[in-house]
Amino acid sequence: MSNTLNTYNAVFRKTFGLSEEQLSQLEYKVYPEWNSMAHLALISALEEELDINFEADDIFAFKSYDQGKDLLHERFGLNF
Amino acid sequence: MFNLQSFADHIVSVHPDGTHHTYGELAQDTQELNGHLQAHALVFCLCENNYESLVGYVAMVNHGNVALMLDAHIEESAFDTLCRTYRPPYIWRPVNGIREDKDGKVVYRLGSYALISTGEVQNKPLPDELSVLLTTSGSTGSPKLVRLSKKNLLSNAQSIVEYLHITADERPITGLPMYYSFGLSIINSHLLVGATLLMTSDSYVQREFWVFANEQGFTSFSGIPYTFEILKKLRFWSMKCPTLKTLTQAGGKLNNELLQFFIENGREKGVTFYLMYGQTEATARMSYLPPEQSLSKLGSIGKGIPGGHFYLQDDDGSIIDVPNVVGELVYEGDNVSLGYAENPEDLYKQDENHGILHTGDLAYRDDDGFYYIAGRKKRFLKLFGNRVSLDYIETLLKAYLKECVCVGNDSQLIVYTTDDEFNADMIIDFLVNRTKILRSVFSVRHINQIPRSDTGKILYKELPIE
Repeated sequence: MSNTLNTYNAVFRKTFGLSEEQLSQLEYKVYPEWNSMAHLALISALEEELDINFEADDIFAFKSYDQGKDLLHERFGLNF
Repeated sequence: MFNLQSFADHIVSVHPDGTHHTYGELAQDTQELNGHLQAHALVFCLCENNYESLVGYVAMVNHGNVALMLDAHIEESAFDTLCRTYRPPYIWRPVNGIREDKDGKVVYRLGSYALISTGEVQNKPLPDELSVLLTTSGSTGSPKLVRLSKKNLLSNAQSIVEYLHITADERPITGLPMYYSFGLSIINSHLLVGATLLMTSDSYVQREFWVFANEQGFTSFSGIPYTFEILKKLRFWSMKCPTLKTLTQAGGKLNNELLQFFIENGREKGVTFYLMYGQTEATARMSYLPPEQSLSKLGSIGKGIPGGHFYLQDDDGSIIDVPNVVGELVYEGDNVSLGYAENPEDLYKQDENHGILHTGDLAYRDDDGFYYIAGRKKRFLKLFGNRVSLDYIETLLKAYLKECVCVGNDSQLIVYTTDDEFNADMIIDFLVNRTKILRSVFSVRHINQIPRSDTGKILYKELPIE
């Protein structure tokens, strides 16, 4: 597993209190605990841990665990 | 309470699907719903930011029903506890998720909502003055409710209209839920003058929310401290919001740096920032900081709203009349609630507060009469705009844990326990599930012994928050 993926997973696990296997289906608003408050907590933690800065558009566009990886690759060149 | 016919041709609400409704239609829809409701009966109103929720609320308030406002997404066991405790004859709720076997019979439908007759009978009509019940701590499921009268709702709404200069031209967007006193006060104050609510169930972290807001020319937006942290992250001031005139903030203390950021940027863009202070126990709002003084009195909660005022009391209950001395903040006004209810009998209680509210906050007054919050007297935290009672959280936990003590501040809650049977994850899972509060707020520390004084009192100061 790449370091980036490790960090990415760790942020999700910590924010939602889940195990590695439970992450792949996570989606904003679909998973009850991923509400607007959790969204900001998640974004802030990703910024800090991955040393990136989200623009407003990125925050809006970030919708799920899987799609988030693509987004971070496209926007910040991170490889998972 | 609401005179809908006098604005019959005004638009009352606009929605993201392109639909809108007039005050005349609202009057008609509420009348129809009322035809199925027995007056002075208790109704559980499950709220979403949509037209049907609005119809339910207005129907109940205008018809003399008593509405307990709840989150439509309330956790099932919390909802069941409230049902068992208060035995409401009616429930107004989204059709989606009705449990026919458990909830009762659908007797009326409007759009996505249904009125359910539960089969419970209200033996004695509820008091005429009682109008709305709000939960004391957001969605934590505590059965403790605040009892609000028609006079409470009306006086607070009128006062808000006056100090925010609200007219029929206003178009606020609903960034807050209706079951939350601050959110409800926005609805009340705007319905009173015939303004238009932009109602969306989207959240302000979604693009759709801001697209809708701008397409519909929103004029105001309101939030709790956390909302403004998000707005800053979203680079709110680089978004184009040409119609926005007013931002209002309440529900806890926003730090001075962020306050200044919003006040100064607002001034540049012609947007007025209002800082306000309130509690559900006072219907919603008690004070505001006039925008002319928002920088010179940065950090102050201002002065009482029109029709209300503050004073300070020391520990003996005598009034402090010198400036810069800390005491308990006391508010006096027509918007002070009747009192609490913890069981159905309490709903028949008279006004227990007589217009005076001991806020539980410690404050001082400066030489010019502006008030500043200095701390809290009681064991309450203010998390995401909701007052959270540490004692209540302890009560919840004690169903599982042999011994625990909760401490914290407005950004975290720490559980100290001597019980090794449950690990931190289990305890936090339980709390998140029951309170719907963000996981990162909670932490658990296992200790050998709860520190106590010789007389057995818990020594909270020996349980570090850091």
